[in-house]
Amino acid sequence: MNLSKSAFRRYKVIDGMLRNSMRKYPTIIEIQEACYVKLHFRPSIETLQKDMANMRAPYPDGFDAPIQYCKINRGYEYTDPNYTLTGITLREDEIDAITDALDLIKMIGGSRISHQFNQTVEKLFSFTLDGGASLKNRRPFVQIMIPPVSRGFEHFDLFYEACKERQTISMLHFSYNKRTFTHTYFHPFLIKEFENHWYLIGFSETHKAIRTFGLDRISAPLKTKKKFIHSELSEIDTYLNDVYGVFPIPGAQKEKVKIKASKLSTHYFQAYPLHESQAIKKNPSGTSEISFELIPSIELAQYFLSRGSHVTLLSPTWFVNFTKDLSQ
Amino acid sequence: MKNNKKSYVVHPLFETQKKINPVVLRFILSNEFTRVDFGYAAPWMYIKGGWIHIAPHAYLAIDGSPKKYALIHTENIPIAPQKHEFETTEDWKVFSLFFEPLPIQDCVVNLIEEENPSENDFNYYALKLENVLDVEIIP
Repeated sequence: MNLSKSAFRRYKVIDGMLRNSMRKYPTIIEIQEACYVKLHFRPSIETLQKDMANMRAPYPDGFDAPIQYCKINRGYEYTDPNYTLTGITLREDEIDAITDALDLIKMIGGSRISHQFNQTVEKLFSFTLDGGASLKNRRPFVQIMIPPVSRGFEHFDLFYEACKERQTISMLHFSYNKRTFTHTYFHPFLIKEFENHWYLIGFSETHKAIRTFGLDRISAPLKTKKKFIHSELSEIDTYLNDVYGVFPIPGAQKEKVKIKASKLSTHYFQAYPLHESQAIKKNPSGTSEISFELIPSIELAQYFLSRGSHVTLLSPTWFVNFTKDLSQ
Repeated sequence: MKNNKKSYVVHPLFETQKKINPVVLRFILSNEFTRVDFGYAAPWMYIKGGWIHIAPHAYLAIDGSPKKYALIHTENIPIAPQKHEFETTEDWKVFSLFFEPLPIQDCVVNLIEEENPSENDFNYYALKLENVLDVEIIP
């Protein structure tokens, strides 16, 4: 069915009018007026009559809509009171709620996730009565920092599909530190964002272990039919839940990490917990001892260092030493 | 023809890869072309990292065979006399050379940019392509 977006928006208005139990049997003039109110233009009577004829047409050409003109009540009705155009009955306030939620998703992450995601959101917008307020036209009420598109991000959809479909990737990787290239077969299970940098996590055949690669250092990825190596669920859970950042320190296990925080830092840790395991034990002076249950990572060490004298790392000892070394 | 559209990733094997910059990373074999992927890290010996290009007469040849598989296309590297000038000694680049298609079979391949090469030319010898049908690419 070749259906324009504007036609579908009129169908939605007609559908809403015919399902309105508070005001049954709308006339064609009333439907025309409703279109004007909701869509901000007034379609002709002929257009609306054609619309209803199209809606009556059997699927897939139309919507099998049981529309008839009731001579007694001098208006239109659905002969089947349970009929809805999309198969889902939603009130206008529910449609508004969905629209707001879609709007929020778009503001928070949609534009930097994937083209396909954006298309899907756009499609969902077109299915609401407020379909005119598309992604392009809606003024945002929430703004977050969205950095410019980074190198490697163009492969996001491929990585996402590979994770979802469990497909092995052939990819080229450049190490900034070693200034060397490798070709590796990679078995990804997670794409992770941390501080606006994107990473792919999975099993590397080259390293024979789970590895994290920045998307910016991956070139020319190809999905292949090579047998996928599944990582242990417990290891995947570790990366999902127990690591602050993306690079756990090799060999480190989940354990209690303790810090001492200044008065000022305590406020911030209370307001913005670093990890869901965070527990704060406040002192009467306002300082605190804070503990976390996680796998120490390079990013965690860097975070503590970045707080300067406001945070003192107390334990475990090996992590205290690791962090000291990192600062030198 | 059956298998006409299939293409395969091959990780080339070397006794030793004498030339490590650029480094040969991957072959892609199909009935339409043979693609060779390289990585190049701008060397420190040049103030701004120097430049690269590929000679238009570069070719592939199966070891022991006179047949040449000509260069037909490049990605991310210009064909001489054009040059890609690096800006710093930290720059890096992944590039691809597309040649006439090699037969999709195990073989030993030479990649020749110059018949009488200097150390700066991109000549590679005895690249072993083994088990070439093992890793099929998903289109």
